[in-house]
Amino acid sequence: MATAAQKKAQQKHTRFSEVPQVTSFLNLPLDVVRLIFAHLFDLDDVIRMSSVCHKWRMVSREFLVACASRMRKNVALVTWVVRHLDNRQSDFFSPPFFLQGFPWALYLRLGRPSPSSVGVFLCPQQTPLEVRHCLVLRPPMPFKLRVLDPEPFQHCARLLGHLIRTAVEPCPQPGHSPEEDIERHMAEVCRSASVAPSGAAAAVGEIVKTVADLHYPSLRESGWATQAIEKADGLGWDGFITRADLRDPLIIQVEMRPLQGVEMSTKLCSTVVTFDEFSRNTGMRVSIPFRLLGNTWMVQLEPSGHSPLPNGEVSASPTALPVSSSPDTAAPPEGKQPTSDYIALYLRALPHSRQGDGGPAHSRNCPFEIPNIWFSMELLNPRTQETAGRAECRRPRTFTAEMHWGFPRFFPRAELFSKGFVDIDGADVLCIKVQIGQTHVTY
Amino acid sequence: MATPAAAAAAPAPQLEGDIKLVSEDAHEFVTPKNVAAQCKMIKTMLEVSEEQEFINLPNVKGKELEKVIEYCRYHVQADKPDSGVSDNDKKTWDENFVKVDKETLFNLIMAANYLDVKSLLDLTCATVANMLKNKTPEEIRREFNIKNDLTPEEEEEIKRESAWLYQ
Repeated sequence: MATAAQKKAQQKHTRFSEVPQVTSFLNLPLDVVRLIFAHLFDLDDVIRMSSVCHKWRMVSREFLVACASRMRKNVALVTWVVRHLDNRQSDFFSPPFFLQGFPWALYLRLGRPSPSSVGVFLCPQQTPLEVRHCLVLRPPMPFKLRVLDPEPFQHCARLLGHLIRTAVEPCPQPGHSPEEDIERHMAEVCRSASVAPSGAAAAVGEIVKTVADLHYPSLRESGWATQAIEKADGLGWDGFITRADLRDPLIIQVEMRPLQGVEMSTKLCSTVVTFDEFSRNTGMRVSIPFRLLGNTWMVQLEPSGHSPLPNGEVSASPTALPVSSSPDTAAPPEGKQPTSDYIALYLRALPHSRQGDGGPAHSRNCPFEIPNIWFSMELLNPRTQETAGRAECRRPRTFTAEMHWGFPRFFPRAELFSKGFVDIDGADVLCIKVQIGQTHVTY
Repeated sequence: MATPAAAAAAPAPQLEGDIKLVSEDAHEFVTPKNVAAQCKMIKTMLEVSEEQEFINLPNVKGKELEKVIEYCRYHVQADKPDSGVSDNDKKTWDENFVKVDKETLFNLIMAANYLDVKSLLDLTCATVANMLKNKTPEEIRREFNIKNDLTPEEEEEIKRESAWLYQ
């Protein structure tokens, strides 16, 4: 533990306020609630959770809605067409696409889950290390689906589809069926948690629907594909095509759509930072880490004009960067110099990982998306802690940039200006409350 | 498939020396960097700037930070190939580690989530899930200090929504 002298020395640099916390499990972040639910193995337990409170109801509904497969119209996340399916090849991966900020891919495999079948799975586009995390965080579950009456589609060979919410088979092992992998994983999670599995395995993951349509070109031309997908809406269906049905040429079209949901705002980070002996000319910078979408991020506070890019470059014109949507914060106050009289808040991505250490190889040279971030920065009176000024960007924004070889050369920044930061009674103590949040859709 | 404990056994980063971790309530812990790096967030920060001497962790209190460090330290040692610690030993240790009061458990979850210690987060969440099993919503609310913010109509709707599961 720190000595009093150490504490004092520490506080001289930066002080973090005590944030009162109420020990209610209601305050757990949604992702954590999801993870807790992921450890519930009995469907009855999941249903009971929905009666606890609104937040838990939402998570429970994610699960239940996915199970019930109440598909609603929405924009397709990905449409993937595999033409001329070659029977000699067994694995097919769709191009990556983004779902809630993570890159995913559809994965089609001949011979899964049984030797005579073909399965379509949703898998994270992650390296094995990351996949393991995904599995731990969101263990898959057996699907409880209603099977569509195949009658309307009898001319269409068979429909192929899966409603998949999470990573079912990210790292297929030869000789293992997805079900076996799921069971094994569940058993290990159970052992580690000292609980016994009971009833149906349950988990909560992303709410998506994969609609796969297997058809032949002639049928596609006659409109079967559209009909099949429309029929699938709201029904939820499952099925496998036997290998004997595969012919060449063949088109497999997989379309995945998100369910409609409710927009929510989650606070990711909130902290009060007090700067003693503040000097705007010293390049003062304070970094506050927080986590988002599996990555560590850093918010940096620094006097504007000192906006170093990761490679050491200095932004020539901070005002050229995306700025707050709020009119009163889009520019420094009148009479203030834009390069020295205000403080900028930057969102900076820390590298998720470096090349070769198990990082997301998939991300290399792929667009990377940070959806719907909002910020607020308040100047507090150091004595009363009352708000003395505010700069915020409440309108959610999505950043997209490129990832290059494991080290993100992408550092999107949201720059916020606050009025009169340096004019408070000529004081050299600044007290700033920083909040970062994300608006997201939940179901 | 890796167990949560095994997940903590990810290859130790090549980090030498110590780092001072400063909790929200200004407690300081001087910790070997390879132990601290079990927290993915800290590892990432260390990779960005290996020269920094301390890291402020504004969302973690000293008590929980101490526990997290204890967890990481144990697994760094126990997961070494020549440690002689069996999986059963680790499992037992983990079980004892999470035998804490609910407030501590709650704060541990938050700390593990913030610091990105996947195996610890998994362990603590599994513990909570185990505590939830076979309990009525009212029992859960009482035990976990959760306010019922559902209206009777909503509760009724919930029952209707899940009726299909019983068909």
